[in-house]
Amino acid sequence: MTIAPSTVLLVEDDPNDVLLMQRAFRLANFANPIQTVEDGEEAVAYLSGKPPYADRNRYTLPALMLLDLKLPRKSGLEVLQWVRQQDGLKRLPVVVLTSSRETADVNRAYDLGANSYLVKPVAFESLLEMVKALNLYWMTLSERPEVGNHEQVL
Amino acid sequence: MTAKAKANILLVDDHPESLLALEAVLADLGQNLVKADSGRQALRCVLNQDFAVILLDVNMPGMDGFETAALIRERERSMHTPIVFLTGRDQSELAVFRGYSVGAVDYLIKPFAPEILKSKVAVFVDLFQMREKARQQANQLVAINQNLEREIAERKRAEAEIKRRADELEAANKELEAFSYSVSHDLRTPLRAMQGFAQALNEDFADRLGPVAQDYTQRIVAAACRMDSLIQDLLAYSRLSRAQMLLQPLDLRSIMAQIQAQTEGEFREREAVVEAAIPEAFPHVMAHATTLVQVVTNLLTNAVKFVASGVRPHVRVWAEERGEWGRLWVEDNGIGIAPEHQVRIFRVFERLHGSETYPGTGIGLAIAAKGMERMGGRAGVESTPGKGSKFWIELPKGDRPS
Repeated sequence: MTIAPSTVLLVEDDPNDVLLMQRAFRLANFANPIQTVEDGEEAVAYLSGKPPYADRNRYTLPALMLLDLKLPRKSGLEVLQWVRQQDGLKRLPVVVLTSSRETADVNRAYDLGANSYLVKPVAFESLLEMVKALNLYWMTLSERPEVGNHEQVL
Repeated sequence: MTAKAKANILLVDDHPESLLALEAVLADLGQNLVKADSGRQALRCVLNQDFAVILLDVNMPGMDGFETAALIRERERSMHTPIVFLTGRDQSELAVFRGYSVGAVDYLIKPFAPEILKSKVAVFVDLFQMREKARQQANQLVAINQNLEREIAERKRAEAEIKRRADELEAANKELEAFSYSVSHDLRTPLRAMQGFAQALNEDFADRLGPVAQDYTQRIVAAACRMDSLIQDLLAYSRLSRAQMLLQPLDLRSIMAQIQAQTEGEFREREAVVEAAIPEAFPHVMAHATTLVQVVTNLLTNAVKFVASGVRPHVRVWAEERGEWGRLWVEDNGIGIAPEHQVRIFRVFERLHGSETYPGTGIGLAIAAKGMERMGGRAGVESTPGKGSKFWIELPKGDRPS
């Protein structure tokens, strides 16, 4: 069994958003390592430990996934659906982080088992606030479930 | 009812005096008498006309009555026309039998009693006219049926047309939704980068930028934020235009309390005072909760925004019953609106002031007006420049839920 490490996996295709998120994490004194993948298929490869992400020491299973919805190759919703169907990943906390505030997207994301749905703010201050809140809520306050390739069977 | 058409009666005899005698007897029946002096002529007549009855002399040179009757029966048009044979006293019973066998319906022996002849023919005329009437009614029925079928076909066409238009509308709506989806997603993404990196420059490289460059990056940040508000407001406006609104009876007092709780922070920053006085017993109004909250919030934001500099915003909210309507007033101590602008301000993008003096998108009141329209309500304003404005919205009263 793998002890859930405190890595955060950021699934984001826009390099600008990646840079801004990284800056926000830095300014929020976010202590956890952040891994970034830029499309849905890569996210699935990362989570299932397929090359080039086979090295679990380097690419540890995340404790939290920040998931954009509009992604190339495989949409965020498809990734979310896939995650919830995997024995070892179905409890992984997933926070949707996207530009769309369309009701249909919000509902669909929660239907598929998103733990939270956040809309990327345009103002950087708001983004910073959001990252601080994420850190406090998901990395500090929340009890983390076990996440791993093998479910613990009692 | 249509007047009875005259029935045709065919008289066939080779003796002109016999024809004359028949004509004299039957004249006061008032029908149309057609004379033929031979079997051949009689056949020509039945080819062109329908007859109520044919009076047919048996003894004729050439084609006799029996032969004529047989040929009459062969023709489609005259197949069922009643034939009455006229014959002399000397005819044998065999001849009578033969007459019936070729399709006679009656037999009259000459010389005949005029009254009997007349009443017999009258019976056939009556029969004919009844048959004609039945035929006309059947024709009318057929016509009515055809009309009905045409109407049904037309209605089906109309329904198909309506369905086609509904499909088109739905497609247009879907397209619009896809459009606003990409507006909300794709247009805001570059904005976020502009704003974020301008701010990163400003914060991370302040020492190398100098005051003028810092002012410029600030302006980029502010412009990006304004653009974002515009997009957000436009999206809210278009969402409002197409959203389904389920109206239910709502308590204005608790709606107002909810809004005040939400806006408290923002209004405290502006040092605004918002007083709401809505009686507990005020009737419920028919509205869509989210939309009503948005409308009233926009009115409040508008009310605290447009004050002369140095003036502390003071907003009063109260409710008034007006017949079938419940009206909510929002009164401010702002700069007021000249009468010529009082309609314009409810339109999209209408602004009366530069964004330097009063920042905003110019969509807030348009959202309020559109929201009221979609809920079946109304909105308006009473204002005097320099003396503040009184905005109002009205919704139909609804029953309090039991």
